[in-house]
Amino acid sequence: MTTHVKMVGPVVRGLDGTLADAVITAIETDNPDVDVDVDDQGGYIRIGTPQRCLLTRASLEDAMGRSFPLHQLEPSLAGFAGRMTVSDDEIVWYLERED
Amino acid sequence: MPALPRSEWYDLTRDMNWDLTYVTEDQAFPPALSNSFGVPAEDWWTWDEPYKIAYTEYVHNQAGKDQGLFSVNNVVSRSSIFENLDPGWKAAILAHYGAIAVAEYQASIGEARMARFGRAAAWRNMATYGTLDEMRHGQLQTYFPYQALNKEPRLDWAHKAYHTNEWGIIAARHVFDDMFTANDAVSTAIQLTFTFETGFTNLQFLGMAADAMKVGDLDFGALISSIQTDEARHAQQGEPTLKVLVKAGKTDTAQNLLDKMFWRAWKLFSLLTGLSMDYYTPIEHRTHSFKEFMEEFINKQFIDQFRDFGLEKPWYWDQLLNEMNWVHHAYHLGVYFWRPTVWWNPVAGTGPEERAWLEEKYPGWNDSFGKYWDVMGDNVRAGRPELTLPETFPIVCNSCQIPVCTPAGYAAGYLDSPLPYQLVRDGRKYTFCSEPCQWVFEQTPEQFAGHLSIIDRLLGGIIQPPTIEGALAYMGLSPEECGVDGNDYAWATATASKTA
Repeated sequence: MTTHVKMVGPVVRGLDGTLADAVITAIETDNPDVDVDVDDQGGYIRIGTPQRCLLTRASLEDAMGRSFPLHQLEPSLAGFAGRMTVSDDEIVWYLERED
Repeated sequence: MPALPRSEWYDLTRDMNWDLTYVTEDQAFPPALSNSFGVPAEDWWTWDEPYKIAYTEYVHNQAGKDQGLFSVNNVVSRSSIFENLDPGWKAAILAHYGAIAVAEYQASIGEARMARFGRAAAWRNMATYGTLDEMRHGQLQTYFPYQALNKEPRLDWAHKAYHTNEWGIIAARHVFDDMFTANDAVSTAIQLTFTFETGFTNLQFLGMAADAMKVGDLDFGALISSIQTDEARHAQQGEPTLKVLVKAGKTDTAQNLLDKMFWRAWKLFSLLTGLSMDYYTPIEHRTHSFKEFMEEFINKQFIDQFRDFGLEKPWYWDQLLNEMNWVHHAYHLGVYFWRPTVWWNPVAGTGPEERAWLEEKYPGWNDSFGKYWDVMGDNVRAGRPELTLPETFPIVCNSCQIPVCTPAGYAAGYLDSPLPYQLVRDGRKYTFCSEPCQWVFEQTPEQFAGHLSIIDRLLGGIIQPPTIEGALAYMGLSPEECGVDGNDYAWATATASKTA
């Protein structure tokens, strides 16, 4: 099969632009060595990095300027690419298979 | 809220598995309702959801979602936004509400079955949220259209559609009954939550949300993208179920469940989303073509995800890529031609600008599908629009229940033969639109053999009189409800040049 770069990361509701901006800023902070791809389709905003995408509560709260438990992301999280694992302090979107 | 971090108490509160002593496992989890596929009970207890949420958090989030959604709705429902929507967009949302609203309620039955017959306590916990989610979706998508009934009475098809035998609804019911209304819990997790919700609902609920925002239909865009935030969570029941099956050496079982429902979902969404994106959405507001959305959400995002578990692309992958070029163009021709049989007003979407767009997105469109529209345009311009309306019926696939369009695929150069697939079983001949549709049927023929397509019902004398009028009455369509050209044939007079 042809291989493509597997992008992973959140798809944020387009109505929640302020939160989307904060998520983008936080993901840029948490993934310093990669380019963060942002595809704003109006109704949704796809944010992605190759293969693994980290979002920490600390970075998100810095970007938001207030306390923000990660489960409160759900009302804006319309989807995501990759698999997702959530802990108290961080969310990781990832894919493992190489081919 | 508890003072401890969630991770320190979560497992304790939701892991309540125990050995059965008063009843057998089959009594507690009858195979018809919860097929374990031979995986021992203890193995299912390793089921661990990747997306964890406590009930307090769930309630807090859901209340916030509805508060946000209804603040949009309260403003928009008092405005004249609906009246000013493009006729094509109205066709798209009328089709959506009829095809989706009650199906969401039925999905809550499937979720509730997993909430009782799921094989692990953690799973049953997630499915309880899923049940509440789907009830929310059913209620929201009957309430929002209800508010605009005074502007478009056929919005009552949001509730009515699944109580009729309209042909598109027979097709939707056939696949949804298979997927969740009458499915066992384990198969439901793979087929509804993983295949359908992780994969295909993104097309209709996020792809159309992107278009809605550009069209200016804030209400619809807010609604369906909010619904999709629930889906993104409860769709995660698929992954741990898949992992248990794969770990137990049941990868082939999981692959088979996925292959079957992936194709079935494709057929339905090529009909619903394909028409909405490539013909009904006003051209100046289209974000991507249907094929481009398929490539983004399915061919990349979803395939990457399920290959990560060791599954592979379905065996019919090349046939899927082939159909992505043409099948929804054929469906659109059919729906437009048989427009009295649907509850919305289809727009042709084939004026000069639209045709240029279609040719760009689907090279060769003008020389293939465009020619049919040339003939219909000639008839309209000659003052004979009645020639663009049906006098007979198409043949319908005995699997997907959608008209067989192989002649159009053949004429467009995508198929080697115009003939349908046919199978004789116990003296009855079944007709299929494609090899995968026949394959779906043959996986569980006893499940499908007794079903009569709408054409079987017509030819078998169930629909009386066996005329267009008799069929429309059978489908629950009064003359006032039958679809008409949504733009009053403006596309035909706007056609400046012909391709043929």
